[in-house]
Amino acid sequence: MQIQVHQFIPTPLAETFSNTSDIWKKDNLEIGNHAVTSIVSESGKGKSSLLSSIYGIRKDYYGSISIDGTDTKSFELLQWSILRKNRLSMVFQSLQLFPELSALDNILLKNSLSNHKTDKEILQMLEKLGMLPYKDQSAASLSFGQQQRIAILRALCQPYETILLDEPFSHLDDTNAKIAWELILQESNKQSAKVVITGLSENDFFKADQVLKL
Amino acid sequence: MVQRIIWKTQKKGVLFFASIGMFIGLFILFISIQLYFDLIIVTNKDKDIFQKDYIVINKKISLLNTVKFLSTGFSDKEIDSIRNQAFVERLGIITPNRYKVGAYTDGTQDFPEFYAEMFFESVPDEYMDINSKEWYWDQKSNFIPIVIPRDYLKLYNFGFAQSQNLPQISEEIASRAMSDFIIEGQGQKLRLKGKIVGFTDRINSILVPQSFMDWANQKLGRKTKGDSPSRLILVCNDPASPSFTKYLSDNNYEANLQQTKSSRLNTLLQIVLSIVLIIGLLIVLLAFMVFIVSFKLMISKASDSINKLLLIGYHYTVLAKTYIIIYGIIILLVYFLSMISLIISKDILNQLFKDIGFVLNEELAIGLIIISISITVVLFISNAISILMQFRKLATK
Repeated sequence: MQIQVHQFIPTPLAETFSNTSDIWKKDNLEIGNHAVTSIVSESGKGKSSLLSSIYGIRKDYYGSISIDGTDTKSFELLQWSILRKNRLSMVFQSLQLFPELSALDNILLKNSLSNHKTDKEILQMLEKLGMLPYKDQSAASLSFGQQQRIAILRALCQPYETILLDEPFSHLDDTNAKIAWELILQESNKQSAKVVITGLSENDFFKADQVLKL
Repeated sequence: MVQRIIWKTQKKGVLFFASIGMFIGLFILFISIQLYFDLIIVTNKDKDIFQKDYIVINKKISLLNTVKFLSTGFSDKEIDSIRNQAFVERLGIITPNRYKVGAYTDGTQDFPEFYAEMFFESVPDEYMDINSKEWYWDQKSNFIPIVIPRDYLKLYNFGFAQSQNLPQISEEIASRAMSDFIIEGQGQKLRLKGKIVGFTDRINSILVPQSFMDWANQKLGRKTKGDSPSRLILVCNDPASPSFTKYLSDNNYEANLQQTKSSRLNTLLQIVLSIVLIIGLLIVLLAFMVFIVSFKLMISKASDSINKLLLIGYHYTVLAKTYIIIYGIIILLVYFLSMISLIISKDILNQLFKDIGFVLNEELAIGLIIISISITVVLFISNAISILMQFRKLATK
């Protein structure tokens, strides 16, 4: 999957953006063409806006985003649905879990779209992230860190060519973050998929092939 | 699971009330349509209950007619104009005799010699309401069949006979009596035997067959110019309609509208059924609006969850389907419930109508079944589209 931004800048940042950015207002910049791309900046500099715009949730930007050569603004709803089901996955900063559903059901809800994982594989992944004991608890009753792990697992339960991770470890301790990262890499390698991850700074437990600063 | 997220958390009480409203509305609507088919369309076709109305019209007599300034005859132009009116199905001309007619007795022991001038009129057979084999004139015989208004006999029996202490006469006895007639004109005089062969409720006149009248007018009639018919018989499809009465008064015609009772009853029934139908339709529309609004409200309440589902790759039509299927089930249940209620009510109504002499069709009208299914389909599709549009709106936001 080729994701390219051209002269891109989120509308709210158009007035204040810094010329030193590796992304804003650049011509035909490809994002996620390496195995792991890390996008780093301080808070409020537009990391989430960028990922949300690529994922098609936000449309308030200047310039253009294209996926496989087609401007995403011309995508039909069905195209987005197919894309999000089979080719592009995302862990949202705000997680977007269903609080009334159990941890497991949150994952199953996503998995049922493509039946990418078997129930057994899902349970194994839950166990790997230390979430098996909490699988039947409602998402609302979990801590934010636990919810983050459920959101990561959910994003892994679909086929994808690129996965967008929006500060996925913000509420995880290093140990749990490392375990989660390994799982993400493992799943992505299996599918030869690219990883795009945002964060406040470069993490010391993983090495990105490309680092873009906002 | 999708259903659990976007449907089960909703408060659904209002849907229950909307369903009851829809059931009542559809039931009233369907039963009025069924009755419309039973009482109006079917009976009009069979003419069993509501016969076509035969109306005799003439020009109003005024002083000018009396002093012969104005003719009471209908000109060809006037006849054509009447024939072309929407409410006139057929038009027949009532032909008067243009020769002298007299009834007489020769003076036997029982009756003194007697002679009285009288008149005949005739209408084409298709306008007659008698079905007698004797209603036939043969030029070779000197017999003429006569039909008189049933009212004449009543007038004699209950007016004259009783006051004069004379015996009353039944229709059967009256039909046995032969009378002698003389018709004369153009210097010729013919003696004929006549007999009452039937009684009419339709035309207030002494009637002879049209063929006899044409022959006699030709043979004995005055050859005056412009002898136009002064009475016409109309077959009307709706003589109680305001347009008909207006046409009559505009042209200074008068008609015996007493005979239009069946048509008035028909119109009254149509009005009552139309009102019931409109009430049913209003209730259906109201309940339908409640459904639309309730679904909009529910979708809007679930918009957070719907948005999340859209984010993780669900297509809006998949999500909308949950609501559409539930609405479809409700509408289908309401439809069947109202049809079952209709069948039960129809049995009761059939019995009630039977008691007062109306036999209605036992089965549901095919028309009703088609209309009811169409209404239900329209109700379903309209809200299904509304639901889809709202989901689409959420997805494109």
